[in-house]
Amino acid sequence: MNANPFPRVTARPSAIPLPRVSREFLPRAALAALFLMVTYQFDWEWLRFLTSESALRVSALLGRATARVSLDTINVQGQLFQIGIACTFVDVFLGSIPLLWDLKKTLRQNASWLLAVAMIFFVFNIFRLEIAQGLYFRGVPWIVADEVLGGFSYFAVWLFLWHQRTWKWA
Amino acid sequence: MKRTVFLPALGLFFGMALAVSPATTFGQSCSSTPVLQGRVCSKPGARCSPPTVGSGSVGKCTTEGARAEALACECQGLPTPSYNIALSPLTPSGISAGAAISTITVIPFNGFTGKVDFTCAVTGVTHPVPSCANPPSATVTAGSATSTLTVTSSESTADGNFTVTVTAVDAHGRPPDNGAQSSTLLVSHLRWLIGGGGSVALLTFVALLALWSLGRLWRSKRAAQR
Repeated sequence: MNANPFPRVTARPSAIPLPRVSREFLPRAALAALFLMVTYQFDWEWLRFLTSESALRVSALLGRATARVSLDTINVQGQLFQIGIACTFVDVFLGSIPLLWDLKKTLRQNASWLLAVAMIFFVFNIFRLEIAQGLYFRGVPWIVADEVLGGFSYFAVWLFLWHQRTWKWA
Repeated sequence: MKRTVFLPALGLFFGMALAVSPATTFGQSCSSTPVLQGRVCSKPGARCSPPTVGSGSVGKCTTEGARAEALACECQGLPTPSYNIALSPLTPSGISAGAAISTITVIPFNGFTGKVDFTCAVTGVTHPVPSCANPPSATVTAGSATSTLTVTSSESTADGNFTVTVTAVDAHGRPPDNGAQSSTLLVSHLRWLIGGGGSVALLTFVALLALWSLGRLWRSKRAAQR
């Protein structure tokens, strides 16, 4: 009898169409995860030494008091810094290989490209380690100087991988 | 004329001096070979460097004949058996809590043998300082002997630079020729594991990735609407 002045209307928000991930991306992502797991099965002592030595020398060039304490630990301005596997960027590099591999190129071409990327990542890594140290010595809390900056570094690598991709995303 | 008499007389004097000198005056540690100036001997009368003849008082640099530029390290007395000690740098040179180790080497001279006892002491501006146990004695029989110095730090040890000094005495209470030896140790309880890879770094990365993905989706939706 009484007509409802406010008829019930079911409104649905317009859904944002999520792209379907391509079949090419999934195996690469799975391989990247596998490579990451393999990375942490090794100690990477030589790379930790190389990274710490490079950071030590760059810090010395920047006028900071430096000294080596052990294979993976350096003393900068009286502060001890221990270099773990993650700070060598080896995990990032090995995880990037499946995403960087171009199926249309030869093994040699891919290997040359990966070698160049390894060098780019190494230099970038030393750069961000020095920025982290610099921020820390200027009073920025370590968790921000190192970890948050680390997150930004990972994201920068992702953007690099995205722009270099040869695979279809969707 | 006068000169011609003087030179043979001088030669005779040195020849006699050499003949009456006991054989031990030219010990193995003391070089009688002329060496170029500045290499072993710095100037006539100076002590030999390194002082390889006991207390160092028996080895002196002398001029070799008429060659002013050539000096020799010549023994002028009985070599005294003695020793030096050498301390390797503490490894690691910086610790938080744990131990740093150094090797003490006893270097004997002139046939020194016997037991050498060590004591160690740690000094620093901040307290409490790291502790060091007296290193075990070393016994020299033939060649050098070694002992181990261990310095330990705990969580309660103060941060700072510390000097660890090792002194030694032989069975006759004689110290080494080169005196007490020191090494430095840095103690710091602050140690950062650098390089990200922790949960905060991953969270930051995921957050940035999510924002980036949303931005891409939003842009593609706007493009589709147009």
